[in-house]
Amino acid sequence: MSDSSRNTGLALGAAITAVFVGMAALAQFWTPFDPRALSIIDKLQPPGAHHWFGTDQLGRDVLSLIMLGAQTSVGVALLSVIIGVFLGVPIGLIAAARRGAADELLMRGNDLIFAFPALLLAILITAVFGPGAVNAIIAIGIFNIPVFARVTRAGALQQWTRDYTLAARVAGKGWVRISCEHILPNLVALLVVQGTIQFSLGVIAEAGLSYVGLSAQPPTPSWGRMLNEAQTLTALAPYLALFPGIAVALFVLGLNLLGEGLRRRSGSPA
Amino acid sequence: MSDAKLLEVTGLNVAFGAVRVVKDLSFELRSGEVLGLVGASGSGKTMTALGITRLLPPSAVTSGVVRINGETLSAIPESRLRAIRGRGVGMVFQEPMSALNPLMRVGDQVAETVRLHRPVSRAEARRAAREALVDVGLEQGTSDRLPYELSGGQRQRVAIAMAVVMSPGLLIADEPTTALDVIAQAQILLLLQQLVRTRNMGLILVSHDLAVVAQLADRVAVMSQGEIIEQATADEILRRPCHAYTAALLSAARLQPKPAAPLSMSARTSPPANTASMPAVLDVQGIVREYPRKRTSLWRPAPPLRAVDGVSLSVHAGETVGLVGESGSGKSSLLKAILALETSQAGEVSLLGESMLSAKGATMRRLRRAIQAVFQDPYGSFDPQWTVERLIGEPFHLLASVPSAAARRRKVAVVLEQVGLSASDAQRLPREFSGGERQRIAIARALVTEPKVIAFDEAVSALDVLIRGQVLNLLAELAQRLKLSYLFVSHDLQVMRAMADRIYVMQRGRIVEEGPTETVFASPRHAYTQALIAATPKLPVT
Repeated sequence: MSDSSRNTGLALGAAITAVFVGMAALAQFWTPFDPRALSIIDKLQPPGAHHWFGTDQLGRDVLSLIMLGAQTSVGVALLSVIIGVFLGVPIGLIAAARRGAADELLMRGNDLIFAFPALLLAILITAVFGPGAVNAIIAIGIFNIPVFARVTRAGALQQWTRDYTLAARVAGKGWVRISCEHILPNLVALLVVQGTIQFSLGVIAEAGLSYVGLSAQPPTPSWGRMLNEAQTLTALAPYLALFPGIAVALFVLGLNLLGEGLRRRSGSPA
Repeated sequence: MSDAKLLEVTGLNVAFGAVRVVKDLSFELRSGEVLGLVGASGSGKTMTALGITRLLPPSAVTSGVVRINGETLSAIPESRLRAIRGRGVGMVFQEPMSALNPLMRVGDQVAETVRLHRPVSRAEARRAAREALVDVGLEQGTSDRLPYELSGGQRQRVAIAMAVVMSPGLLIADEPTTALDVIAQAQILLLLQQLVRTRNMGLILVSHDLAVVAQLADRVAVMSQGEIIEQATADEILRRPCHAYTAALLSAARLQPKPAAPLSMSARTSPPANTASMPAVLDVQGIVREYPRKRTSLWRPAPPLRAVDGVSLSVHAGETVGLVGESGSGKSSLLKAILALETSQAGEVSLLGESMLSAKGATMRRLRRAIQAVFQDPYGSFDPQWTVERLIGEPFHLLASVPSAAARRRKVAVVLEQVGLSASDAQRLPREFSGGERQRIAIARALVTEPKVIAFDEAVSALDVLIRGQVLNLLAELAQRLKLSYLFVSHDLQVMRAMADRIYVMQRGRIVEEGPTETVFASPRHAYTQALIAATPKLPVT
């Protein structure tokens, strides 16, 4: 009974994620309307046959904006996860393999980053270095580093207790090689799950940053800024806030379902 | 009372989907009687034990009739069943650590069982728990301790106390001593025997080890592939086994002592005298291995824990040297120090006349080629994602120039055949093999660099008796054919006696006795060696 429910969760999550990622990819080549074309005559049209999601105060097609916004969202979240993986995983592997002083130093450094409220520091970074997608990626990415470092370290410590690492050392391999050849491949499932979760957190963080105007700058569309702009027009055109809001919520839900489904399938603990 | 049937099992079947793990099983048990349930792993012993108390996972389909004290278990509701499980039937499992809650004082855990089954006050339950703990031979203060503060044997005593505190008529013990060393095993078996006698309980003792079962059981049922293939009194089974499988189990359990010193015909009686003139292949001098302990004082560091305290030993060409001792005696720490996997605080290891501990780079690789190791856990010893070929080929890393893919494949095929597997197994993953086959793969991996010495850390402890016999035969044959020396670490004296030319007995980090195996067995000098030998379960020789 639990088998089928986990499979539907996984399938649903994968489907939702695929729709959004597909939408982002499609927007690179085609959108129903030119999202940059302003047309004041068509402004604030409610959803209908012509403009499925309606138009905004400048007459731009909301569906096209959502599609391009997905691109920003996926791009920022993905790159920040990549930053976290590329810096955090080696830190975790080194800490687990070396233990002792190296472990202390690396993990306490991690704790230091963890000690900052993530979104506040992201705002600080983008405020100091200027708003923009690249700085948003860096700001979110920094907070992914300790997460991946911790998950990797915990998983790696468990792998190091197993006899096959002893066998590899009897075969003359050093800790770097063992970490790369044995430990890391056995952590892939764990990291994919964590990556999915961090991806969804990245989507939320990007929406938050762009809502306060610190992520991608106009004319690049983003869900957070669409929400911000829709705020003043809530009475006139509530659908303007509805669609980007649904997009963020649905995408995050899909990613979480996917992550949870993958976690259960790989059998690793939460 | 003694002629009343305590337990009656008729036509018990357990199936998971289409797989029938227990087939049409029938047996009975009287009060004060011990039934031994023996068989290889996977023969359905544990499923039978769980099936009796209906503790099987929900995916299992059971049929058949189980009667305890005349009451049919399959006919009563779960709530009544729970009462019977505690009061009518007690259970003890293999792993004493996971049977206990790590965060709860052991006395409270026993008391909890009491309160579940009898409406008594907390204080009364505690008192009953304390009594039960004393009854199983634990000291007065034990009830206030946490599981991690106790040894494996003590934990198993707590588990037994929990099982018998409600004075059940029937006790089911599933491999209760398999996770323990010989001395603890002997004590637990003695305790079970006393409990059966004083309380007139019925006991079902499930084990893969005939020698263990033979010590306690009045009757023995031998299981194979879900069926009882033979059931008779212990005496009859041991003297006149009817079934070929039983006979095979018996002969595997009765390991033959190794004939003394095949090293050299001339020096049959005194191998040390003979080998003393030759340089040892592996020579270990005064190894000290200390582990740091948690600081208890702010001002000075805690004294380190000395796991290995100045141990010296030597292994000569073609010789099998045994290292025996109970768990925690420092055997594994010593082995890791010898293999230079951990840094020793003092001492020297020389392999083929070269220092192992200070070697680096190419010298280290050359030395590592000459000494390989096989570890205990046939499941943890392999990276689950690697194919057998890649796993066995891992030590090729030690060769000066890594051989070509074709040459590697050839060499892997050769060692696979040497250990009795086939070359076509190379592309499979470790999880596709049984425990015994995995241990063969581990041996193949140790052979691939053509070493002089192989160290075995409890390499056959996790195996069934039948499989153990096969692996030991293989090892003996390989040693002779490839002129290998073995350093064989085990807590099992029977295995030692079958394998080793000379043994060292280790206790609390020190070697307390050494000598040719038969001499040590015939006249052990140290009290600890005597205790170990006395504790080893023996089958009567026919």
